[in-house]
Amino acid sequence: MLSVNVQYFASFREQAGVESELFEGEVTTLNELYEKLSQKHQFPLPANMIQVAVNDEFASMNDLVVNHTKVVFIPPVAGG
Amino acid sequence: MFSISDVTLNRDELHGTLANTTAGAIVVFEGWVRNHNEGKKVLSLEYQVYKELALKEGDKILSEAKEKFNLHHVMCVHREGHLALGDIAIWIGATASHRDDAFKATRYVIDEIKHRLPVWKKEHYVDQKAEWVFCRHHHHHVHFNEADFYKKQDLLTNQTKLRDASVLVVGAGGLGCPALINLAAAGVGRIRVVDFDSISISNIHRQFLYSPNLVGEKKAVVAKSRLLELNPFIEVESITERFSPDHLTGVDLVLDCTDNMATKFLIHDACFKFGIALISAGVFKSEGQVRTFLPHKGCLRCHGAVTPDDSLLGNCNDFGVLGATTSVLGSIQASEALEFLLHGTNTTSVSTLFLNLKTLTQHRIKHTALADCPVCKGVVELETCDLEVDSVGEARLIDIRNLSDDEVKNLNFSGKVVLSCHRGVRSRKMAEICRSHGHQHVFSLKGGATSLV
Repeated sequence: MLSVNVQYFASFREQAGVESELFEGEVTTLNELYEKLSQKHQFPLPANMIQVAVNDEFASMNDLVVNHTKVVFIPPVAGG
Repeated sequence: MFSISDVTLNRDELHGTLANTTAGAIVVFEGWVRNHNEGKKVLSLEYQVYKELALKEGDKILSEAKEKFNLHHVMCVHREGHLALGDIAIWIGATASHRDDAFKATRYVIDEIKHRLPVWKKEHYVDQKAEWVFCRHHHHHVHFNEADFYKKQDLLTNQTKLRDASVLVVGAGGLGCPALINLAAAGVGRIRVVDFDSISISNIHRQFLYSPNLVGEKKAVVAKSRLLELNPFIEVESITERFSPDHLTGVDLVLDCTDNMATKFLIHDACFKFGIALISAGVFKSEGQVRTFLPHKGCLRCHGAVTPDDSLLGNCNDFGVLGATTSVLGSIQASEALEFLLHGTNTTSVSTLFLNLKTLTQHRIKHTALADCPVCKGVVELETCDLEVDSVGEARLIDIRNLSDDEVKNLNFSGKVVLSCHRGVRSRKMAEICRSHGHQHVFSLKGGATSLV
């Protein structure tokens, strides 16, 4: 079983209602992790429109989830 | 009866417009371009006028003259543009039944104009560099020296580098205003402002270049005037169109200060294609992001394959925004721009800044280039921001001839959609409405269904 620390920014933080949470479960890619969390929190954005960072470095949604890492999901921000 | 002219004034013509047999006197004042000023030999002059304000203020001055004195008529024309020695720079004429009122009114008008009109004069000298003189201060014989303007930033900058730089700012709104003010004040030599929008009353709380008396005016035009008022030693160009890659010609750096993803991705792709550095920012409530893209060093699409659908994100209208937030983010863009212009790199090119102004915390995420990114590999297709397209291409074509306006507004707008009607008039109008509802990928088929046969 994998355990990762998930953090949220901007609209994700609001929709999740938390700044961060511990995810424990079985997933392979970051994409799968997002889909799981997306179901839980009802995120409206499809996975191909968001960005993801692992341990404060941008990563690809197809990358594998590594145990005990920090994963940050970043929604695009358009306002101005 | 106050006007501004960019062509040589014809004194006979002006005189003729005031002809009136009930008047007993006319007093005319002409201001001329003379060949010397404060010991320097002057070759020619250039007048720059903040038109919107000057026209209002000029009319006000003439109305005051009419109230104060017993006049038949009073008119004034101020020149702008390049003037040669001997040219008329300003023409004032006042007619009255009695000479005293005409004399006094003319004197009043020229004195008030010298005090109050936002006009700058650039004097071209025989043996010295041209100098801008702000006419309002000129009244008190104060001359400004360009070097003094930058005196307090001398130790931090290389002013020549900034003066030689050319920066494009797309979007003169919440992020654009503070970015523009800071770039102009710092002395970036050439600034190009692109914004198709007009000022609305709900913009002003965060868009500090504007004020309520300018509602309805084009943002780019007003921004240009205000920036030149702030720093007369730079050049500013305004473009009142939606962003197009043509606007990148001749610029060293682009600041994306727009508020929607469709345009942000278009700007990004165009900058990437032409190898131009880009500083992009966005705001969500009290949070913001700033990222710099240096040519050939990774791109936005390394991490997000498709342009996010703006209707899923919402904008300032949906979630609210504070001037304090956009000011900080826009100023960071300007600060990062200056850093790039002076040193060729900056910190947000290494990692994206995520700033939360509520908690005053920041988060940095390091950039990595994706090996198999289609954009980095050189396969770039520029998306179009234009409302009208000539062909449907890969997009979904929807014929709206048998649909009501409400039915069109409630269509499913996932992916790129092209609306068509008989001749392309209604579809253009509907595409515009759909865009204003956040569907940025809706287009109209130019010429309508008839163009498809």
